[in-house]
Amino acid sequence: MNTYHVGDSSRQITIAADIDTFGLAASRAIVLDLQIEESATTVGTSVDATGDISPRDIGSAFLLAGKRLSVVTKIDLLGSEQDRQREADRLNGRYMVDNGADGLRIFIDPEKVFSDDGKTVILFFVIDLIR
Amino acid sequence: MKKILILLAGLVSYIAVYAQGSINKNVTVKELEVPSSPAFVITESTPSLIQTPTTPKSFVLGIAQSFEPGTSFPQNYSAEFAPYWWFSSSDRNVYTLLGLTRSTTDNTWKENIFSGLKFTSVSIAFLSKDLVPDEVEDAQKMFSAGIRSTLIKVHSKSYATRLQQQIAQWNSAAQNDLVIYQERATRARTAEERTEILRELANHTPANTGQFLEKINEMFLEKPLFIWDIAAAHVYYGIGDTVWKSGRTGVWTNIATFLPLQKNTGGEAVSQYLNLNFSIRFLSDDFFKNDEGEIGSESVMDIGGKIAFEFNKLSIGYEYLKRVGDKVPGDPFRSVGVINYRIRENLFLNGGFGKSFQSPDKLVGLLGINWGLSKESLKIPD
Repeated sequence: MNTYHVGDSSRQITIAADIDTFGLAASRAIVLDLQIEESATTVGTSVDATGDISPRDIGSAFLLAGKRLSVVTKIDLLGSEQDRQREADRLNGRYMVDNGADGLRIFIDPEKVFSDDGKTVILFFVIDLIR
Repeated sequence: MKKILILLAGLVSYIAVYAQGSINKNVTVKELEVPSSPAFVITESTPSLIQTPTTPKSFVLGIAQSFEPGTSFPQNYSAEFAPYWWFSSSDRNVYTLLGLTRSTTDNTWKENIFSGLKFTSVSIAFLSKDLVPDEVEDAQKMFSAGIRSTLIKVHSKSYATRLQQQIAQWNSAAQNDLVIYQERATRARTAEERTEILRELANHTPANTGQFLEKINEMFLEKPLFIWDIAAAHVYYGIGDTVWKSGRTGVWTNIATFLPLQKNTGGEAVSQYLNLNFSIRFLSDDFFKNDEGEIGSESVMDIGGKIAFEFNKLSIGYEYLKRVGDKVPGDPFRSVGVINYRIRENLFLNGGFGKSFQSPDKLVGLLGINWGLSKESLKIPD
């Protein structure tokens, strides 16, 4: 499990997602408290089919400490079966977290899950925000 | 020279095979496609010399066969790939693939008519053909390399708007899908549980998302109103078993238009066209037979065009090229009927029949097919 030290200041933690694919991509970022049901807060979504989430503040460090951040991306691939297969293997995501005690950190290894027909790929990045 | 050729071929093959990634080193025969790469076209081993691919492809392997005595299994192979497809780039996204760009002035989406430049492809081919016009009828081994790029590609005026509307609707539907699964996946207690939830999301294809995706895919394959390609290639001839000699160099350009034969109603993709092509190419060959019957260096120019009707899976056309040059014997021309039938995705039957340039009354009889009916695999050496 990825972790990031946010610290206990009142500074705003910043995140961004850069999805590298020729497919149609949609991303969504949430923060939730694992101890409390129905606590998920949407902190970012992609605004077009690039799947990218532009840099944005997601909350104060002391409020985010102890919570979990996740970014999920749904990618539908275009082209022939062979083009889709190769793109599914190649595509990737980069996730940036900044302004906490750990400073700027870039994560590049999301979990990748394929649909049975190979037309859809899910990228999932999860990180525990700790004090 | 042979060492250089082997080194070059090895390097390009390595890049091409490496570029396929780690999914599968056994390239299935299903992936083979009728070759239209410049490395093949320059040897006149393709059913049609005037070809205008309109969508970028990541990697294509090709085979071709000719109806000539003594030939059995095809001995002509080519590989073509676009390097841009394989290297990470900060601007890589679906809009760059589709050739759309957002206007900075009014924030609307427009077609980037130069988007094809990014997908400039390189190709290599290994062939066996009697291209040297001497008394010996034996086929030579040949190695060729080529490059091709689309300079300008223009679709209809409404193309970018129609496409962007479908993409926006897809994006909205996909966001709804994420809402259903993301919290559950984030709360999963084990990696296995999380993966299972994500797999559910990957396989969750509500009608609306799938419908938008299908339309976007159809529009991606829609032919442009205007397309301008350039290409170049060079061939080395194998003389005997050990000697390789520089043979033919070619540079050519094609301008094509695809006129829709159906009205665009309700944002549906167009799939029937009248295709008109104009082509001009310069060839320089060190083994050209002049009007005195001597073999030597000569440069010629081929000028002509092609007309074709494209109906979904079937394309029927006619191609004519006239060859001009100072020492060209006779009045050489190429007059060929071309047929292309898509049996299913990535399975094409492609043929050309008629008269070719060289040698009086020489007939063209070429047929290409990818062998997708077989489940066999073609082993690429590690």
